[in-house]
Amino acid sequence: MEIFRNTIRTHDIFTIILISKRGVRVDVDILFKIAAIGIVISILSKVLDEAGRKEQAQLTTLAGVVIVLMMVIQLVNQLFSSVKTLFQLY
Amino acid sequence: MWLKMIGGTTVVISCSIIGFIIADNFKYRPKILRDLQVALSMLETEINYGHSTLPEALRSISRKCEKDVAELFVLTTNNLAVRNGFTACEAWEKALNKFYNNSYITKNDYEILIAFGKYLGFTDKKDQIKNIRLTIDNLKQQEIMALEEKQKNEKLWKYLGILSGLMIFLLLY
Amino acid sequence: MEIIQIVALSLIASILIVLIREDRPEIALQMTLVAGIIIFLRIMNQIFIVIEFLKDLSQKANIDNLYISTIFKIIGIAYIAEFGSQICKDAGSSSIASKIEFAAKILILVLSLPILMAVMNLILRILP
Repeated sequence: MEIFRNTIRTHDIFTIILISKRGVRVDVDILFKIAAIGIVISILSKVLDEAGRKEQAQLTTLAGVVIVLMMVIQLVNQLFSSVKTLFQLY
Repeated sequence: MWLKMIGGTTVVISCSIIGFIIADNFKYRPKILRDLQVALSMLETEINYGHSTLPEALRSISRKCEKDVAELFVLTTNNLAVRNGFTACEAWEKALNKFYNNSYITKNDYEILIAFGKYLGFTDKKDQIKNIRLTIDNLKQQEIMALEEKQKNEKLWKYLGILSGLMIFLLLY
Repeated sequence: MEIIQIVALSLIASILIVLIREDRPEIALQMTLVAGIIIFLRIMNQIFIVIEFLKDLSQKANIDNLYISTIFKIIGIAYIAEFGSQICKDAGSSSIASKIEFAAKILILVLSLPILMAVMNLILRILP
């Protein structure tokens, strides 16, 4: 019975550590995602350029920037609202 | 987590396969046009020196030419052998329709071959040879354009396939 | 330890930014923005603790709530203005960055005017 309770306790600690570690992974994930999107867009733009379709290469660059912007704007919103509540700037 | 990986890999692989299939269209078209020209010049030789009837000439060509265009001549020979009152032109058109669905030729090539079929077996030897030469020239022009297109587009579509698969994977990850 | 995670995150971000900057400078700029935001959001808890402590201290010292909240507002304006101005400088528009700093200075001055008035009144009351 004691052994059973001990294993449950270590399982709880494990889940707590896992959840806090997941917070770490979420932030680094966005950085890797943006970097990977950047690399894919640059290769795509180069290939389209070489095949002679320069205007489509420009369009893909623009599309890449818009996609990354949509991801970043949520974070910027979070930053501004936290600063507002933290420093009582409302 | 693993399910995400498996789904993502499936998306990437399927998008790249789609890209490769589209690239294959550009890759195989010049080859088929080249083989069509060779087969037609073989037909010209047969008509000029062979003194055989049209179905026999077509049958011997279907045995001698490359595999990817052999189907067209085999189908024409079968249509003529059935003896349902088809003219050579109709037999050629029927075979061409079936061939067009399964192969890499485009609408332009289809039009050239249909125009070829209209004069098939109607006129005498000299006119047949002129018809064949005209078709061979048209196909040669198409082949030159197809080679240009292949150089521009084949690599592009391969990369497009792989990269769009990666992009969708990244966006949904 | 929090600092190790933050330093690791910034190192990874810097390496990726150097990789991307030559081909796609616009995406490198957004990556610096994201890295800065993530680090700030991580540290926010600790900042909250410090601010609560200062509020407690000011209450115990009987300082009016107005003054301490003005100080916090000034700190907030200064921090956000510096964040924005640094990002603009990274993007190459240092003129916009200096305009941001100018606007922040004006806003801080306006915020601190009541306190200056109160100090002036106090001094005028002391002088005969």
